[in-house]
Amino acid sequence: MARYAILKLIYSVPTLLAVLTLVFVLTRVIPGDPALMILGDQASPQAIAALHVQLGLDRPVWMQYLHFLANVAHGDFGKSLVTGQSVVDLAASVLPSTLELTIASLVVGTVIGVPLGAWAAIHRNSMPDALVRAGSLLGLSLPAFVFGILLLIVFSVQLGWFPVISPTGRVSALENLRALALPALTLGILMAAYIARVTRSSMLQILGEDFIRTARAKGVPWRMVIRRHALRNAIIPVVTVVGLYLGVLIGNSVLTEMVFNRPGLGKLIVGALTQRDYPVLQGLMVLYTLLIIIANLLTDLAYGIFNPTVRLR
Amino acid sequence: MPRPAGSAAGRLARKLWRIATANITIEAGIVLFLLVVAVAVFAPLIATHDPLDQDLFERLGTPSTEHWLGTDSFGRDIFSRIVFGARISLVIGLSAVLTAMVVGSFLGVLSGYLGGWVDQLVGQATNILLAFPSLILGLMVVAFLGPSMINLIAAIALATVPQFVRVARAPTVALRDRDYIQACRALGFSPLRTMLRHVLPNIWPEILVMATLWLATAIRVEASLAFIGLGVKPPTPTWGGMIREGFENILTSLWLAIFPSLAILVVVFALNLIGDGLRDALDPRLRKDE
Repeated sequence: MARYAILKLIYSVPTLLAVLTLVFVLTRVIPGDPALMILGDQASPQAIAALHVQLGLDRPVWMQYLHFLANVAHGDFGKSLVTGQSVVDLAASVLPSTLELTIASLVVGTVIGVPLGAWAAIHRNSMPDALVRAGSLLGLSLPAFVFGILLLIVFSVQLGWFPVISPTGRVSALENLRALALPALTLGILMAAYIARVTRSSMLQILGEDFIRTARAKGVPWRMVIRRHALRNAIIPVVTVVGLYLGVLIGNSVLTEMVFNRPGLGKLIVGALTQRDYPVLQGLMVLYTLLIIIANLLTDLAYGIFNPTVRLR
Repeated sequence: MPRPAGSAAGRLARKLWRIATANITIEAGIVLFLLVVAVAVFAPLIATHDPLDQDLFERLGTPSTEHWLGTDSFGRDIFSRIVFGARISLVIGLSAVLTAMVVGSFLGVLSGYLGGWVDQLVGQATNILLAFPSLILGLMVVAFLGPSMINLIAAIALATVPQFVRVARAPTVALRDRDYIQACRALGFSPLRTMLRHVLPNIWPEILVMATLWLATAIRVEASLAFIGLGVKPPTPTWGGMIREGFENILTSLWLAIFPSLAILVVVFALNLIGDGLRDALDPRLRKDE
């Protein structure tokens, strides 16, 4: 298992390197001189030249590239052009709330999606199946921010059950949970739409297998067949899909954080975008890549836990 | 070899028609989608106002007989803006997916057919791109290149290309060792001819399903980028941009955000219906004829 994990980790090195290269190239092709951007239009040529030296922009491109990689390896992404804070500190301060949202949504999505999908498969071509299929297709069609806004309108603006704007700073656990509820439901329900579909088709396939018939023939109660024999096998492809969906979840969290005005990586990246804060953008892109690589790695490991045949290899 | 009568184009049209009418899900989706396309094409005839016209005495107006869906904070007619917004969504979505489909399918067939280092290279690049959710990738590219129509199309196409590479490569690998493809090679057909005339016709149904599903995603991503503020520059009406503006007035004027949201929902839902129905119709395990 450990060997498997390490091997996977080694495989992700080229991906990371490619992204770093892409980020580096992108920052070089943007029109405009970074020094000019930092100092403003009124800066003297001397000041710009001095900043060039300071930023290392006077050196050949390949040296800049190596320097960039060395800095990244040291965990140094530079400082925000706007606040002067180190990019790593900025990201670290909001990372927990994004992770909190992602994990909560993952739980909501799985808890709603898997039973619905299984329910639909068991009642194939009848009312429950039609309901789940239509519902999940609708869920797949809603962009995260649209669904978030609709929930916000109904539950925060009209009914007033949840805060319109997430509280910042230190708040009680209960307040925190109340603020987390709607964003997590937004992402979780959309994810459930996806998971229900995958669970349904996976379950349908398993229910047609010989061993299900064998189990029934030897008199295992139907409920037990579903839980022990069918669902357990049907869940394996779902794990992969959940893992792949983690990336979508991280992407959608950008939108959800905007809608619910919730601190997090998404709000940070959108803020950096509007202020053209390139070091922050660079750092966040690398961080997003890392998160996605870690998510993929965890998926592979989870796959091993749910599917014993993988473990033997 | 006996061949069905009619030209190649006629055969293709008949095959497309048979697929389009294969089940009620596809039909419902196509009708809904064509309706939106019609709205986009005939936007100037359908819109009741100029989408950019500001009526400063009529700001944040509620729906009325004059302004069917009300007016926004600049006093512009929401209905007309939604009608014209359909153009942006469709043009960006269709261009991005068509680009991705052509480039991706070509690369997929190429790497599946040739194998070797081409396959390795394309495969690695695809895996790297696949690691990124389309929204994040789109965000990165547009953030650096700036939000113009071309850049948006390029960004969304880039995020979609790997999907087509994957869906085109797998069946090509399976076809490569079939006798009739071997025969093409033995007859000395060029790889390009073999790929275009003998491989592609066998794999395009899968590509078509992929295209409808990813068109839905492309439209969703475009709207999301516009909502973030990376869409086509205002005052051009885009659905995502309208929702963004509506969201700023959410406490006073709910409909500003709701109507464009419904527009996105209708288009994406229609496309998902088509994609879903197509998948059922083309799935060999469920197919009855042939």
